[in-house]
Amino acid sequence: MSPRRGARRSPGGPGGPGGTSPSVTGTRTRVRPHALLPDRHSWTDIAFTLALAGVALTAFGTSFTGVGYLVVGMAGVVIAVVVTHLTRAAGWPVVSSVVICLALFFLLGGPLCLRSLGDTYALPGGATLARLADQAVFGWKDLLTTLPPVDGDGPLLVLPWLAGMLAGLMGLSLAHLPVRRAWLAAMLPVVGMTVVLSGAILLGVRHPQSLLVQGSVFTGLALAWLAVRARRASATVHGGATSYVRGVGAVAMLAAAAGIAYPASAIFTEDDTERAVARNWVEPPFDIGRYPSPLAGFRKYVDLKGRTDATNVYDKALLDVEGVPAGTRVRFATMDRYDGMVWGASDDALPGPADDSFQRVSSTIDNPVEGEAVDVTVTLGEGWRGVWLPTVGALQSMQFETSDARTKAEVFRYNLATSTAVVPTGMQPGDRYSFTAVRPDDELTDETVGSSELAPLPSGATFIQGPTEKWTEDAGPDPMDRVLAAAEHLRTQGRYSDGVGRTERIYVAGHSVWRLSDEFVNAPQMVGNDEQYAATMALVANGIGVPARVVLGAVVPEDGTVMGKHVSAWVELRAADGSWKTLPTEAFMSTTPPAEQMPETNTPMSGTVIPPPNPIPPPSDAGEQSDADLKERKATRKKADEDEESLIPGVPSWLGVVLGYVGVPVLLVALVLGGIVGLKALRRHRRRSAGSPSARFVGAWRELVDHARDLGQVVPLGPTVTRREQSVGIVSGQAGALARRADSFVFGPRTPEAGAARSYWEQVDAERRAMSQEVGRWQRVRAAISLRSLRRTSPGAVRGRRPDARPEAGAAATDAAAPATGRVVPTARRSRRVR
Amino acid sequence: MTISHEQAEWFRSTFDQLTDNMEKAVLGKRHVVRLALTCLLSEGHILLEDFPGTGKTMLARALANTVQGSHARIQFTPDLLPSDVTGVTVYDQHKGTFEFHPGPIFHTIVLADEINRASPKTQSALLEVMEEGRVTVDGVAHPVGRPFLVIATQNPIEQAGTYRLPEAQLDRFLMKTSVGYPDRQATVELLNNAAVRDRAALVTPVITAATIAQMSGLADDVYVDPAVIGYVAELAEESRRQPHVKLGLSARGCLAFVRVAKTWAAADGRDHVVPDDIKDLAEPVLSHRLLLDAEAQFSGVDVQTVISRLLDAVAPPTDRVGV
Repeated sequence: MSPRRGARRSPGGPGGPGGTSPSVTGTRTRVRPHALLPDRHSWTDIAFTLALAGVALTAFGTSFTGVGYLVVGMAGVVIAVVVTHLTRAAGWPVVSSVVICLALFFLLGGPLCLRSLGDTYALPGGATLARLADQAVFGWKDLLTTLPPVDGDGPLLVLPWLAGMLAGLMGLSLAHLPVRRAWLAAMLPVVGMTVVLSGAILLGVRHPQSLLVQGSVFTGLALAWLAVRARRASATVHGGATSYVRGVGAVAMLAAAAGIAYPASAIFTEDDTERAVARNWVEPPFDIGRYPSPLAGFRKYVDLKGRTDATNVYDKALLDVEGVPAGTRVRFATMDRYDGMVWGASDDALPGPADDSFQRVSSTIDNPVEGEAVDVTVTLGEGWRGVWLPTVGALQSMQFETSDARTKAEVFRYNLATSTAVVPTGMQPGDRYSFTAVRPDDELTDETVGSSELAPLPSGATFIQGPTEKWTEDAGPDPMDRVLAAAEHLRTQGRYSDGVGRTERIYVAGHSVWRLSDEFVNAPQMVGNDEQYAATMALVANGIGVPARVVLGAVVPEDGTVMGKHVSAWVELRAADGSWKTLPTEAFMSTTPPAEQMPETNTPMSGTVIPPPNPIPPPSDAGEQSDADLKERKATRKKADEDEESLIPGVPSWLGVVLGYVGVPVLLVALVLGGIVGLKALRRHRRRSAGSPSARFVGAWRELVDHARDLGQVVPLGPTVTRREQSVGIVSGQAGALARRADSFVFGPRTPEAGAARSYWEQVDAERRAMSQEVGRWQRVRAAISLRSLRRTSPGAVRGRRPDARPEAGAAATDAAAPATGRVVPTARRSRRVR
Repeated sequence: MTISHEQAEWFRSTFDQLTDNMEKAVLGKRHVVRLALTCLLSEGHILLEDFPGTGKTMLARALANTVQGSHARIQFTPDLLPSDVTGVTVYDQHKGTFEFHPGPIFHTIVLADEINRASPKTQSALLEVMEEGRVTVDGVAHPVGRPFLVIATQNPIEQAGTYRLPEAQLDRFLMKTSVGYPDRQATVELLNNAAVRDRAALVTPVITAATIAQMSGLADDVYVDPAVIGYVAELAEESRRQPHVKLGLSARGCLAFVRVAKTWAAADGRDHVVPDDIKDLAEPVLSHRLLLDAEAQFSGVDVQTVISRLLDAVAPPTDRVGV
């Protein structure tokens, strides 16, 4: 190796901290034991990077359970820091550390992040790689749409793993980025770590823990690092305070700043409802509205009185409940939105930023509700199929215990506001699950005050206002009193029928506007069952101004086995304190059957057009879905989603994503690198085939110079530099002779011939190959894609060419060469003779 | 007619022999020796400016000794008369005719020691002989013969008892350079051989005057590409445009530049001049030809600075001019 290449420039520059070398003057010089070991400044940067990254990662603290996220994240930070330092110490470019970190991300991601999925092998398979890539690209959305805290050992650990690597990579790379301006060099890594913190905050929750402490610690560390780097970048202060005094002063100022900032920030962040986190805007990718209302299928729970219907579950066991006393209400589903056809479950039915959407939840649910804690185990019976998951009270945790428990846990969603749980993949008879819950006090008392929040009456439901006014005219102004008066009217004036008997089949199922209006409240006799009564009662309460919703569920019997006959629908009213109070079915539904007489019907008359009745949803098929149907729909929807979401038609979505998000950037990078290599090849071709042999000599020499520059050699450049002067800077055995030979042909008395130029090119090519052989493979690759020789170093190099000079077939456009003959160089360029 | 490769190679070989021979006396000053030989072979004259005791006279004597020819030394003093240099015409009473008695200038190599200690009038006595190679006394021209080389030394003009050489006189010198102090190795070697009182005596003639004349003729045939000539012309023009320069490169200076570059190229074994030759010779050729104004001194600008700026300002050619 030549001395030039062997003498690597120290990180701190000559005489700098990193450039310590054994002194020949006899003075004591601190010598680093090994080039790969960090020097003092590097240790400082590494320490601050680790500390700031650690603080930034704690922003995930409220998103994950346990400290696994922090362990994984810090592992990523440490690995990235080590890789970045080693690549830098070895003189490799920054992109090499990125590539190595990317490889380690996929190599170690399985054992670190996907342990719960069994991906613990050191050499990841295709599934593990795909899962890591998927989580790295789309994991943020999964995190944002999962109700925090997320399980600390789940696949979403990929996010802190990735964030840690990014933090380490960004912090240390920016710390060593060669920037001319001192203030910018000092600030860049701090800004980078702030970006990491901001990203972690964005992925966090609206009400984080230890916000002020985290911000203060991060700010203090960032300021300290900034000060250290700024001081390092600036000149030494002579005659100033000692370093001890300055250090104590700096610490005191930081402490003072933190002391002021802490209470001040507490004032400014008193109302943190405006805190901006991505969770505020990201919509969960789940549409509860696609599942039919269970209330519409209520008639599968009624007694058919001898008739047979395979879907009827009146006398079948739906679920076996353990852990709660008899009389406890089990909630199947809460329906909080009426669309004129059915009461159905919905997302975001409540005004304001309430947690009223169906979100993915982990095994532990952050659901702050006061009440009696219960530990419940439910085993589904033969009569239960569907996506709705019966629960009690407000869930605190959930554990599925059947064989496909993990799948169910992954898709399990829960609505905190309606206490309704769904498993989109469906529940089967025999499925068993246990949960802890809190049973709030939901009893409606005389002291209960209705909520004053105005819930707009659904469009089409205005028919209820007239009857409501009539039923409550004696109840006084209090909304709750009016609600209870209306309930009393329904209970006393209505009649109960499931529409099963021959004479009662006219009392059809459903609770559409037509059924509730014409066939119920406005009919001569209000006849219906839980479905119509609960639907009407909820509309009445909403019409009065008390927010109400319909709940389908059952009251647990003595033996704990809930059968179809135990299923009922009741209404919940919202109290002024925001809680929901139960208005039991008995309070608004009559149990008296209707008189056995045919209701009045309009006889069709000739010439009269009878409008067709409103469509009535089938009582059983619409109410519940068989598992086969659900799977078929899921499969169809999944295929449609894949076709729709796949970036490349005909290619699986995950593969399309990988190709789209990894392949395309790789392809772009390859195109850019290929373009660089192609440009150099084109330049070489133009030089080799220049118009005159003389120009070919000149071009050949420039090719040698550019090759040396691409190899990182410091070759004198500029319009006033001759070939001989350049040859001194080229680390090559033949550079001097080649320069002399080029000069002899160019300035010699004989006109050079094409054969001589060809021979000269062959010599130059051989020398270029020899120069490349002297360096390592990686440096050869770097030289091939280096932009140094393509950068124009003398904007006026061609402009000054004399008209009578031989052109170089355009190759000079990128050459740092002088004109063909002597000319005056612009003043601005005179200071750049040697680069 | 252009010098052939073989001739160029012979030129280089001979030139190296001369250099090696002179280095017996002048230790560690190969570059200065080569410049002096270049001057000799270019039929020019050289001015050495340096502090006393740096070996100026030793160089001149070694150069004189290495050529098989006559040489003389003239110690310039304030009372030296022109006729003391050129010679005088005296009346021969026996023959009854006026007879010219040549002065010390009539030698192959003349060492004009401390030339700036003589009065301007005496200095001017050298004008004709240095330019035209002859001395005119009482209307009769007396040629000094070929080769003819004046090696003049001068002390820095800041020293007491010195007169600044007139510009016309300076222009007669092909080059001006300084010897400088020897480096440590040369000094040690010099001290080890302190017993040798006259190192110039170690130099024996290795070349005849005829060979010198032949080499001069070969140097004249060295090819100079128009691009290089254009470079010299551009340097000359730019020298007149440079700030603080009162007097730039003259036409005589340009001719000298090309002439000395030819010899310099031949001494390198080349049959052509390259821009590097011009750059190498810029300082010795230009340093005494550029006259700076009064403000230059106050601005801290010296001739070397101006020459450096000049070379930075004019780009040398990289390709030949259209054939």
